[in-house]
Amino acid sequence: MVGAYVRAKTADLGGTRRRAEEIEGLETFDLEREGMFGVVVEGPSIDAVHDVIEGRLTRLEGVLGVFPVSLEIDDPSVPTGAVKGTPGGVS
Amino acid sequence: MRSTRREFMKTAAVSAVVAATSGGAVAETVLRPEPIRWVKSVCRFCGTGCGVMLGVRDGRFVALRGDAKHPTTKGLVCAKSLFLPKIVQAKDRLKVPQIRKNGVLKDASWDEAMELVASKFAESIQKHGPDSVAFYGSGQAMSEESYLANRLFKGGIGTNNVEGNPRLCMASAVGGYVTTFGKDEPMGSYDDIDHAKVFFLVGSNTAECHPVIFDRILATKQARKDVLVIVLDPRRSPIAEIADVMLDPKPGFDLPVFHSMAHVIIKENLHDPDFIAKHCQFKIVKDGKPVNVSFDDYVKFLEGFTPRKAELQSGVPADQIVEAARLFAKGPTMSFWTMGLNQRSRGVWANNLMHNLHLITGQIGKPGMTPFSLTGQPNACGGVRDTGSLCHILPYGRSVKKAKHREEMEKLWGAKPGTIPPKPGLNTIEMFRALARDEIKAMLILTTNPGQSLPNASVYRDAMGKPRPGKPFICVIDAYPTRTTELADVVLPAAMWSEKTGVFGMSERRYQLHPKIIDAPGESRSDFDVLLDFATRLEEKGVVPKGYIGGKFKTTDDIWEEMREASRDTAYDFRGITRERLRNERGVRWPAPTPNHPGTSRRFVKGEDPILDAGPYADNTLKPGEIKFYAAPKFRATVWLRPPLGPSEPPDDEYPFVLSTGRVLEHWHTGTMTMRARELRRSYPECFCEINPKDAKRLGIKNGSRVKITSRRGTAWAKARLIAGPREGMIFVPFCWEDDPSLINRVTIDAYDPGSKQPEFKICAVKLEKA
Repeated sequence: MVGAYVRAKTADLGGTRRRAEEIEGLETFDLEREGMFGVVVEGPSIDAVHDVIEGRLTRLEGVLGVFPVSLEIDDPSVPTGAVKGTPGGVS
Repeated sequence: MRSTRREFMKTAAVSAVVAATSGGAVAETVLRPEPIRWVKSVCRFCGTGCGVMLGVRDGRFVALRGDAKHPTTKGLVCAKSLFLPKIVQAKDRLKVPQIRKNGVLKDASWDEAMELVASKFAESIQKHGPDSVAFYGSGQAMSEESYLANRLFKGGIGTNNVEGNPRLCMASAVGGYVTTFGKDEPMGSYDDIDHAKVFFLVGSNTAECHPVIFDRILATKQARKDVLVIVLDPRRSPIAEIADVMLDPKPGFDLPVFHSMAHVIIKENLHDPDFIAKHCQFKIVKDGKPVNVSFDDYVKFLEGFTPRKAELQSGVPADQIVEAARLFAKGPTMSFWTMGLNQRSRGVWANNLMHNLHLITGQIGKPGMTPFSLTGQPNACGGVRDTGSLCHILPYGRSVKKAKHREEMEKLWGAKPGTIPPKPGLNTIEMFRALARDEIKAMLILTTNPGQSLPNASVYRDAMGKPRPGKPFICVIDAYPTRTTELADVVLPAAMWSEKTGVFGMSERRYQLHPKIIDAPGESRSDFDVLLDFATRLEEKGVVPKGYIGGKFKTTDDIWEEMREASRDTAYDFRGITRERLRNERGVRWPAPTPNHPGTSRRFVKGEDPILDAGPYADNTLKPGEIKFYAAPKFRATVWLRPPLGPSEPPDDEYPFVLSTGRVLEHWHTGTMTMRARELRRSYPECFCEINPKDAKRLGIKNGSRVKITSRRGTAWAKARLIAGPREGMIFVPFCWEDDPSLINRVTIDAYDPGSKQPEFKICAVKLEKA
């Protein structure tokens, strides 16, 4: 889950936000700042969330920039044990 | 009230965003899952120095969020930072020492590895002298680590062969600051962003390389309609989207643009004669020596750079130069630049000319008015530049050439008088050239990846790794396998930043502590521990005086005390930045000579800079707000009359394109860290080459097809990306991918600036073909 804010062209902030809300897994919320709105993006994996932000949201018409603020990793697959060895070899 | 974990997370995410965008006012309302402990720290990536909160659960680093209470970055971080928990836990972290045996790296014990490293260094020093060994460090090591390595090599072993990768990114900025103002490091701070009305962004892809700074600029522009942005860059990077004036010179021919802007400013009487009369001097180099000239001489010199003449030299339309000059002079103007100005064979001069514009308009030392060099690494400033961990300098503004400075450091370090040589050691390129000639016999490489990041890389890869009789011994300390560890004789596994406690010093002179929050994996150790071990073994072998380092320092806290003392009576004085303050506060900007000093937003300004209040530079005749360039000769900053020379290797008939290299938003430098987050790797799975569509059409290159890029030094391959970013005749390739075909630094040139010794990564001549 990623929390981010979006800077958008002020003239069409409402339109940009509506287009953003059409993206699945994305919710918007108000921010008390001109030219900005907040988003929370959820997905089954970080890959999916990343695709939403980088692949769709940042490319929306009117979006100047997407600035992630928080990322929660709830991924039990992240390894913690020791891994031995390393690739080597002379070039 | 009960809620699900998902709701908790969502509330936390929303709260973090609200906090970040409202100056942290509601940060305390964040609801957190109970098991998580949040620890204040600083980001591991670029020199912006974003405050971060690291989330720990069950001994694992599982979450990261921007620190809403951070005074300058206010909760913002970029995508790279958010993936740090995954990067730290990458599956292929190095966990045990390795020694090359019969051409293959084999696991070894720490004792066996360290004994081999120490023996090789000792043998070389005893047989060939101290200058037969070298240290190549990093703007990513902690300040305490760089300081310790510098102390060991210069004051213990007795060689100035101490370098670091900031030579590749920041050296020209250092040269610019020192030759113009007398001392390194910016005089302004991020505070100035909020006061500026004009931003002059030069050779800086701020949107991708310093996104949090870019956001602050964007916020200022959104909030105040009279804020304007001038961009000077031969490539239209994403910042061009917000440019009100876009100047795109022929690559390497921007010096005439700076001079021409100065010409317009003076011709139209937009300069500040009082400031110039009080605070500036003018110099030109004649017969290899700087000579003082008058303001009138400068005006005459600038006649060679009328907008029309500059247009002929640079390709920038004259009317745009005039417009940019008028806006700059109107101000308040804050200038930012990075590698586009620094990675040049005339990088110092380009920096000087940037400063010239601020000096002749008096736009310095006042809110919103400052030249500001952004840094690419988290600790190039605090760790390498400030601690003097380059071949020609000593800690906190001292020079190896000055006997007084050498004596001061020898005394503080307890070194034998005369140990520090008066001659600068080898700069980075010359150090690796000496390695190729087998004159450097042993090298310690720490937290950096020269096997991928050096220009003309094939030559230096061979120098490090090609088997041959008498091949120099290479020890690499790193947390991950890289294109450099594969060349090493010994690889030592390093702790990552979250696994050790130390200080990073970022672009605006803010020193910040990052605490250890988790244990390092396997047998990994901090670079600090490894350096202590190394020093002790060298003492036992008789090549470093007994007790010089061994037994003196147990933790990084211990050496910080000495570092603070080393800053006494210097322009850096940070004796007031105690360890306790660093633990409690969100960093402090030096100078801060006393424990109750809040830190300095603007240097050289009476009432703000404490260096003007007490100590060797004090001047109590000044009124609050008055400026004094106390480190400059006669207290006057220098306006330089620099010739408008172009790049070392301009394009020609055989190699008709200019290659420029750089970064992308999701990847950082050689990708050692960011490529280990699958999500970031996926965003740019392979290397690409930006080509202007007009050039592509002429060469029959289609979007997505493979192209071959060849220079006089080597070849690389990449996927074509047709975009009107680079101007015609120019291509752009990021250097983040490690695979052989994409290794673009096999193509780049190792020509370097004669002043800063920084290589010209940004410009070399290539030919481009369909692969």
